[in-house]
Amino acid sequence: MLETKELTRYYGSFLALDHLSLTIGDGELHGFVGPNGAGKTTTMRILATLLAPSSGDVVLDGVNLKKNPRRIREMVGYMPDFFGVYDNLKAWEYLDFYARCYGIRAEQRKKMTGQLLDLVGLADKRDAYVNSLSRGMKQRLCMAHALIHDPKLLILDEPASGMDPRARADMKNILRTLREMGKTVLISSHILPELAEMCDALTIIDHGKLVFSGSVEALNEKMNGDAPVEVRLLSDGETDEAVRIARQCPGVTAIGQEGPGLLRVKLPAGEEAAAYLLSMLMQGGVRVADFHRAPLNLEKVFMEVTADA
Amino acid sequence: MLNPILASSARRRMRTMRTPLIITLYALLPLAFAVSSVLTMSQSGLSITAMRQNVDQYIMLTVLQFFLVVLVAPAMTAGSISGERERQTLELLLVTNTGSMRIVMGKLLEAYAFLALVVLSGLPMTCAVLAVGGLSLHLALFSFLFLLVCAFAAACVGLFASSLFKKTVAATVTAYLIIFAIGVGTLLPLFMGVSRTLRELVDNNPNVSATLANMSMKDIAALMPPILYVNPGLGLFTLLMDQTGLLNNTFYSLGNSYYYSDILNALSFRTFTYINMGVMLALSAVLIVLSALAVRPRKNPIRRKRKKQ
Repeated sequence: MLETKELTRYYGSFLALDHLSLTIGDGELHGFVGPNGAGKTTTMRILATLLAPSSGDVVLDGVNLKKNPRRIREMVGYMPDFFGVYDNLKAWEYLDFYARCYGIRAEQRKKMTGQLLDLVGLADKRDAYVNSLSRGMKQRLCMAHALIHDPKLLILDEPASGMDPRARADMKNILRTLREMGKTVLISSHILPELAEMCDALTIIDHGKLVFSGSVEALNEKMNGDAPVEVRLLSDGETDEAVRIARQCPGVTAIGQEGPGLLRVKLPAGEEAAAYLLSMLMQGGVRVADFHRAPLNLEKVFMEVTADA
Repeated sequence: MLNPILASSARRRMRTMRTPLIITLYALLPLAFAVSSVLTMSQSGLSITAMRQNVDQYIMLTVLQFFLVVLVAPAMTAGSISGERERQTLELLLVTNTGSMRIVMGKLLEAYAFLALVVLSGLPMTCAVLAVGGLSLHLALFSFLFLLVCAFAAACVGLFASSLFKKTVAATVTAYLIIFAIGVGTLLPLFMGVSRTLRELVDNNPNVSATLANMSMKDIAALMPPILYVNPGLGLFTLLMDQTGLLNNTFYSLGNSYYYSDILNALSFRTFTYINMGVMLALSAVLIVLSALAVRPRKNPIRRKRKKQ
């Protein structure tokens, strides 16, 4: 679907994007994460044809961005991190205006504006003036604007910034709907946990360089593969027996009791060691109610990953 | 399909109270002159004196309208592109497939359509001034055409300044500086030295008119400093001199204009006005192209800079 090859961008002598190569699959909800100033917005502006790369290439569905930016614009919907709205324009007129800019015919425009206002939950605000809408509503309207020409790729730059929890939840629902519709979405944030829970894949960049790109599971594996296993026993009375068995398992380096019937066992990375421990506990007659690797601490991961870049 | 920027901007403009207010205030100007003409006629009847007073009123009204148009037009377009930048809506337009020329033309035509509406709103009352006599309708219509060309050129200056700056204030100041340079700066040849060719022609030639009569119009036109053709004020002067037969003494008392009197006579005032209008339209076209180039982000010049380093 989308491939960037050695994408580089300078601002004066400042290198904002350093040979960034990444691939985004068709229909993927792809998170784009990095601290402030990492190069996320620069990348997205290049993909939206607003900035020319200093070097490197972008290919979207076989179309080269440098050679055919007009075709790319037809395939890409873009929602910037900061945007304004026009005064004295109603919500439906706002969408209709951009639909006209894309050259969409009147009948199709009418249909699309209605559908998109429904999608972003603004159907009841159809005739409201855009400048009277709340920030969250404006952001949803801007997302609808990015979808007006039915693009294959949707680029959303920090769409949830400044939103309250309710508005964030609404935004996530819209993103889920878009995924169901088969849209490919590239969404940026500087908050990793916010994206990890709903994205199929993540790209982390820092100082313009690629730090990680892959599935959330792969990231989990890479950064959290040797996280301790949490074992919850059915009965607190079986703790001593469980500790005894765990000590006999090869590779176990530490066992801690986190609470009644709750153990935290430090194991080598990989599924082999965890599976062996579980089987030994079962064979020893210990009744295990829950068994899993400790959840990924995304904030910690983010700090670790970006610290090395 | 109608230019969407033109349609949307016009819709938003017509929704404000300021719009009918401006038209009304502008139309009051010729109304005041019309009332004055009718009062004069009712007191003195149809006489040569009344007609002469009427022609004077027509000149005053046209000059006033000229200054209003030239001063209002840049202000109307100075915020057209910079305003989009300030509102952060320009990028949303640029990611659509609306070309920069279409954006610029949409903005210009919308402002110009309003200006034309304002200028034409004064036409009925101006015709009322003519009712007393002294001037025919087609002359008044031609002066309106001249005003419309001036309005277009001044609007293009505002548009050009607007395309260069992020802030409307900076664009407005620049637009007025350009207008000042065109309005006053291009008159400098009238107050500076006269070319040797012209001086020899006028000072050492007892029969300048006969000499000029043997020259082609092109050669006669070339005797004028080319920059004078840019000045819309001179265009207006020659227009009014041609229409009314008045103002000659006023004009020839300006600086070295005495040297140009025979040339203007040979060339005819009307020809000068036509050339002036043509030059204004040609410069407007250049400004439109430059504005369109300034709207779309340029190719990255940074790479070349780095190579030099």
